[in-house]
Amino acid sequence: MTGDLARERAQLIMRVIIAGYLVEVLLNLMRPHVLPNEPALSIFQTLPGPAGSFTRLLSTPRAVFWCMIAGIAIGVMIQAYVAITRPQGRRAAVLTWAMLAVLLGPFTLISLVVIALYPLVALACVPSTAFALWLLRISQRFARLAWPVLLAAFAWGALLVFSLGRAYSGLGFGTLYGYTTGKISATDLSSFGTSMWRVLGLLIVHLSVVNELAVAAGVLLLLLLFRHRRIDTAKGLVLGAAIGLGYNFVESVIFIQIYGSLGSFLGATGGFEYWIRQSIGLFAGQVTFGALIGAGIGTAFQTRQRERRRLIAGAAIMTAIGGAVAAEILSGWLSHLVQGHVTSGGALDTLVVSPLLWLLPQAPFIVLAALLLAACWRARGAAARAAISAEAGDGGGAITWPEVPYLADPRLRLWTVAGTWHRHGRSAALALHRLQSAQLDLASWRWQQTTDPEQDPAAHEEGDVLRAKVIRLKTAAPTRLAVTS
Amino acid sequence: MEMNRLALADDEELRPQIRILGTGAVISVVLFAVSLGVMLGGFNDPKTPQLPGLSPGQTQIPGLPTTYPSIPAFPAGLPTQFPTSLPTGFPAQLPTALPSLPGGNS
Repeated sequence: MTGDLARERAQLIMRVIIAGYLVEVLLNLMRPHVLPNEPALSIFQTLPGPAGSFTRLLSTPRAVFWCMIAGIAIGVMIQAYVAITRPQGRRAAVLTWAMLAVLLGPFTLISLVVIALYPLVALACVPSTAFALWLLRISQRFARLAWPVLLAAFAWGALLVFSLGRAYSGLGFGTLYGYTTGKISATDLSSFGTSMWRVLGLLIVHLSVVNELAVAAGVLLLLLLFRHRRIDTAKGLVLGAAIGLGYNFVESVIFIQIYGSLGSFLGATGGFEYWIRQSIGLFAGQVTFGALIGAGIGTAFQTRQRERRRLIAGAAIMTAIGGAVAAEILSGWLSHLVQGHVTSGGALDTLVVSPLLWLLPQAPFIVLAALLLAACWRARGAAARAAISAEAGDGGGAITWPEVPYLADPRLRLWTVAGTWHRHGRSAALALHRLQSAQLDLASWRWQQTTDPEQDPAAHEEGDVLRAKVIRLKTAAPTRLAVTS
Repeated sequence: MEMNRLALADDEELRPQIRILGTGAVISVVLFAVSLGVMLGGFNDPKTPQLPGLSPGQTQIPGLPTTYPSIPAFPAGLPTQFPTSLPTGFPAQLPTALPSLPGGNS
């Protein structure tokens, strides 16, 4: 039943994504043509020379576009087949996920093309991104999401959010350009420049809306897939941040490459882009906004009233959209204000002023995301104490009462591991760490099962396996671990 | 979300998170409005040099030309091919030896 609901929601999300894309295509086809010999779809317009690589920011290669259209056509045929034959059980599931792969697969080519074109830049971004993903995982403290789930969220951001944003906004740019720059005055050519800046501003709004809605769709889909487990604010926050991290990864690749190639025209270098996107601002931008969306949807899942749920999730999405728009436009405005007061390209500008100007409009959102994480830690701490105590109260031996205070407090856990290392050596400390991790996994399982014990019988077997693992670790090295009791 | 009933928290427990998210929504609305003002007001546009204005007495161009100026035609009867036959007795080979320099130096 859970799977059915997740599939239904997934199909609904996909239909909305595809319908939105087709509307964008239709609007683009109907736009006024500004230039002579303009192609029917503006995304087919190419610029000559070095400017050609600049267009990769929003480009959709012609072959990729036709793959998308073919995917949509095949997806519609599969839907028609499903509607006629009404398959049940596993066959229905396979057809649904096949349809989703066919519909969304071609969109991911946009991201994959970027990574394939600039593999060295992508490789340079891997260490910092992997470190950030690891930090996200350990930030949960208790009942951590498994690596495959986190990687799925990351992939959603890298392959789908980035691609959907470019696919939609590439068309949106042409449409806005056609409607707003159509009337170029022969005597006042500066009106053309003014129109172009308005178009770019509106494009930022358009891109932000598409990106944040795609992030929200990813969080919602992943939470629905794992909804037989307990869902809380922390889970949503980490999933949203992981999606944002994936987006940030591909965006970093394209920006580092573009500014590396056209730095003399654009005023920044690839190194500077790496500095702000993969170093000092790694957790800003889409990671912060994704975390806010995820936290909002995770909170909404726990709320009783339907209207209130929608309000909370909507507020979170609106927060992210407003923040993303402000981050782009206000940082540019602040940069204009300080222009002339700071030497552009100097050490002070590169290391302090420019990153500060970029981060300043996002600062309120970064603080809010940090506050949400702190609130999640408090809630998770209380949940951990309750689950550990409950497992000790069962008397199964996996967790004993003397171990409860150590397991419930991260600082005491660290202290016991450090103390064991000091007195008994590295192997004993590692054995203790493995035991504590297994005990926390067991407590996490217990906390997760309070969601809906009857829904997932396999999860009960998982509990027995986790208990057996703890007992095995305890009996393997009883003397070394005496420090905990 | 109906199947998650057992996990539903008391809304009182969620109050801190909801308050933070509400604060974020208010801040984002304000910043979004300011961003739109900056964008539509042209405060973010780069400064471009002014185009020179018209001097007194000059008339304004009514519109940009829409056609190219016509190019004068070439005169008719121009030769378009190289001659194919050479006159009789025309030297057909280059000399194979250089003349000796005056004074007998070789």
